[in-house]
Amino acid sequence: MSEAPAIRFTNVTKQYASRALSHVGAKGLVTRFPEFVKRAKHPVFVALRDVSFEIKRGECFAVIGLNGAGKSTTLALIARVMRPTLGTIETRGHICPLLELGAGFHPDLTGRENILLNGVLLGMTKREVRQKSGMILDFAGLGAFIDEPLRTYSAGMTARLGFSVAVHLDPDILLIDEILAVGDVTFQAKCIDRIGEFRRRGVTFVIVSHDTQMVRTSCDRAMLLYGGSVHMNDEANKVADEYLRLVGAAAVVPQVPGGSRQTEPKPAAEVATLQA
Amino acid sequence: MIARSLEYRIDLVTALLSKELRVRYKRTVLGYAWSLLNPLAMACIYFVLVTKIFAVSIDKYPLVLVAGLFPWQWIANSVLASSMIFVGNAGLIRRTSFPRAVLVLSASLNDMIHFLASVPVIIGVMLWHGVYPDARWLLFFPVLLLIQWAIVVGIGFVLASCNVFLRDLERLVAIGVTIWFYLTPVIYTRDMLGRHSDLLKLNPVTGVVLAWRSLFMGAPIDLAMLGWSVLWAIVILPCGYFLYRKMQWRFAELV
Repeated sequence: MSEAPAIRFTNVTKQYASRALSHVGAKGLVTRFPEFVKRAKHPVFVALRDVSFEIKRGECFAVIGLNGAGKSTTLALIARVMRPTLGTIETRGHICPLLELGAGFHPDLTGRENILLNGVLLGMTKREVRQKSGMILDFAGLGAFIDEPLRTYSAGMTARLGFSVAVHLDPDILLIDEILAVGDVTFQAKCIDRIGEFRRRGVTFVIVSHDTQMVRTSCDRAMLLYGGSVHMNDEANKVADEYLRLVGAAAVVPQVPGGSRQTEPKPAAEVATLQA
Repeated sequence: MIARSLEYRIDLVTALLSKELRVRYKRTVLGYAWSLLNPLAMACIYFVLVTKIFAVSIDKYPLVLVAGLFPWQWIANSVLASSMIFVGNAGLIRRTSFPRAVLVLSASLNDMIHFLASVPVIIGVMLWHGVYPDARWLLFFPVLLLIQWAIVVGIGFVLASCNVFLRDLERLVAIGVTIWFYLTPVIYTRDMLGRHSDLLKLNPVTGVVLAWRSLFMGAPIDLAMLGWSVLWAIVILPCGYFLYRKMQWRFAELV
């Protein structure tokens, strides 16, 4: 109920050391030592540049942008799997990242065993998972499949399992990286119900998505990242409009001016996602 | 809060451990047999090679081999598995913030449990040679487990962390473990080295491997040699953990 924001980024910059460095390997360390040292000293990729924003408690906030704009880096920084190079990040409450399909699951374990493993990896003790396992099983609604190994599941069923664990974690902040599109209609309806319930309870959502329709209907505000900087941070509808304008422009002119990125965004793929 | 955090860490290690064990034993009905087969096959090969082809006679050589190979198996498997463990769990490390150290801990415990599961086989070979477990086991079994675990985990931290930065390290580790095997008195005994046997003190696991063998053979344990292993454990474990703590913030962006 406090006025303090759930998440606050203040002048956050994130640079990555060259990924190529780790692939030079021990061999390179010996045979090309000067190059190795040079690479280690100079980070070459700026993923986020002086980014500041606030997300209020209970808000549903979308992060949109072209590929390589810094969306996933933003989520990783919120989840505290990385440290910012410069600037500060403050978060309030228990953060739960909704894992990508299958991350944290093992194909040879049954659905039931995976629930325990996944719940623990996401921050619950075994006791807490067991207390909730009834609700989780109920929500996943996988019937007899729950005692079959995960490799027999379809992609949709795996996603249902993952979502079911995540929504029972009692998160204060839920991070979602483009996975809500899976599952059949009944399950999606359940998810939307659950999200509505979370919103009433004041859970904060941070969603990375290319689905502008979803951003318009579900999110209060959105932030458009462009080349690692905040291009726009406003009401969701306005930002979605601007994003579509930007994608249209990028589709015509593939080169992004002023970007310090090594990998260029792939506008064609972005447009395909939008149409899908 | 502290109690919950401790409970959580223990749960993390045991959940990962039971995953490994379940996967290992579920995939094949013969899971347990497979984990015994490799060291037993090696024991057979070295037995034929040394006693028949090289025609060297060593007292109770089958027991010498079995009592050395099973503890060695734990060291070798844990060190190899640890070196790949952060890179191998890239998906998790990129997205969740659980303490990564538990991956190294559970890998070493996994191989420790396989070692414990193989003890009945060692006892079988002991009985065949007319050697019986004695009262020292009560003291030395837990002590040796602890020393060896500390060394393995310490080395595991170093290799797992460095492999994130130098990807081909895991290949070097595979070669290194093979060389290390021959530098450890597993298939030979310490006195076969004569006056060079003091060099074995430089190998962190010599003391503990020799102690296991003495324990399984009903022979007196060389406490001075074991002391060297203890010393190594006291150095390696904190150093490895320190290195891991220094590097762990960069894992998510590099794996």
